[in-house]
Amino acid sequence: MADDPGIDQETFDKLVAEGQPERVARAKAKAAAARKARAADASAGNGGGSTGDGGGETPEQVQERVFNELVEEGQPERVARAKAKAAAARAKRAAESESKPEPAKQPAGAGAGAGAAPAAATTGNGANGAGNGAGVALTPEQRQQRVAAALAARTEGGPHERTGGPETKYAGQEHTHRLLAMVPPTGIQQIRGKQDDKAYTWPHLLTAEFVCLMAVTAFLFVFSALAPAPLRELANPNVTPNPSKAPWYFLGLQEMLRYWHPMIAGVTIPLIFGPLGLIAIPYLDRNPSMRPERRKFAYMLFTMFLVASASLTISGSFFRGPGFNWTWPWTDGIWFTL
Amino acid sequence: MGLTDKGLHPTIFDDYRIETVDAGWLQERVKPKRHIGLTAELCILCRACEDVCPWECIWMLAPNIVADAESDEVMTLANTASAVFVIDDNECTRCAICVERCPSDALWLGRTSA
Ligand code: SF4
Ligand code: SF4
Repeated sequence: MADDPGIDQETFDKLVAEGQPERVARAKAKAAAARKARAADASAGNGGGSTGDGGGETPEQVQERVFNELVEEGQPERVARAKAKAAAARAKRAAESESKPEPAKQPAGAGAGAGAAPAAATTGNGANGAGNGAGVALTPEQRQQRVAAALAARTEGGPHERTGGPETKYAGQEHTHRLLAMVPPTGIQQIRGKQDDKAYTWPHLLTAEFVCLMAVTAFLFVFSALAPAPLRELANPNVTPNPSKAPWYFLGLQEMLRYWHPMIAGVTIPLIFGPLGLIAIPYLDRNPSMRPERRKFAYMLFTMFLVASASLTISGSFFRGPGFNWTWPWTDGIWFTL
Repeated sequence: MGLTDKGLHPTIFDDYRIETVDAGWLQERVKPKRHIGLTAELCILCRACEDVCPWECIWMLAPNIVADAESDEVMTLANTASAVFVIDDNECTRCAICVERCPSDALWLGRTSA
């Protein structure tokens, strides 16, 4: 649409009164208003005398006139130019369609003939639509007759015979209807027995897992090729390494031994946070929700555990030097080995 | 319920001839790049789309409205179909009200690939 037709208030009120949702009513009212505007435009374009001088104008003249009118009305120039251009195009189309032979034999343009040249083609039935009240109220019987007549004509004349005769082959091309779909009988009988939220292991999970497997393998290959892992010198029982550190995953435990009695650091705490803690979890946290924002207690517990063990491990790894005494890595160097 | 049941019909062809066209044709012919499409398998023939369209440009028609198709296959399909949907792409504003209305998600608004 070149110009905004506004809303046909009458139609809007009517549709709302009929109980249509407001959004639909508004759209339909807009359609009705546009249809009215176009009908008016078209009659002007066809030489109808709304402006008095419409008859002999060339499209260029129309463009200029409409532009001047709109500018005088105080429309912005840009809008005026666009609207004038649209009007000129309409006038041109109207002129072209007038020179076409026998427009009355067109079977029909669907709906309200758009823009130009609706006069001959859709007279009698006029603009259809519940919108503007001038609806094509074909009764179902009339409709049946119409279709029956068309079908009868078709059977008589063979499959290629058309009701309007051969010259109408491309008539109504103003409104070519696109075939959206042909609904097969199975389409309306389908039964959806399967759950929609079910996903199968193959391929949904297994493909992802396979990709992960490949990625991890590739990473390991690359990493092992780039990072050297040499063996150290032969072990000598007379010279033990200082500091003597556990593997990194036990460094947290070793760190705790610096603070507490071995009974507490090595047995009690690991026992509480290890087997007993794991057994206790389902009894401590009975919340079945899967959403993080509702599992504050569980997340808090796990975060505390994670932070504590991580800080113990980090300090054991990087802040303990000879004799497992505290060192600063930036002054005394790193005493961490894998 | 529907406009159709009230006997309100647009003036339409009574003898559709089916011609096969490609996406290029569609793009050339009608300006918007997105078009309404219908997944026939999902349609339950409720005619709701026809009813809500403000421009009355989407229509469910009896299959015998199709007079002649270029391919036999299409003609067979037309003869066995439960309904034929046509849309007037020149009129359709792609407001997608029909898409929203369709209870079975059969209608969609999408691009045609050239
Ligand atoms: S998108 Fe809007 S105008 Fe187009 S067929 Fe659907 S309801 Fe009608
Ligand atoms: S609204 Fe959807 S299901 Fe109903 S007739 Fe239209 S396309 Fe088919």
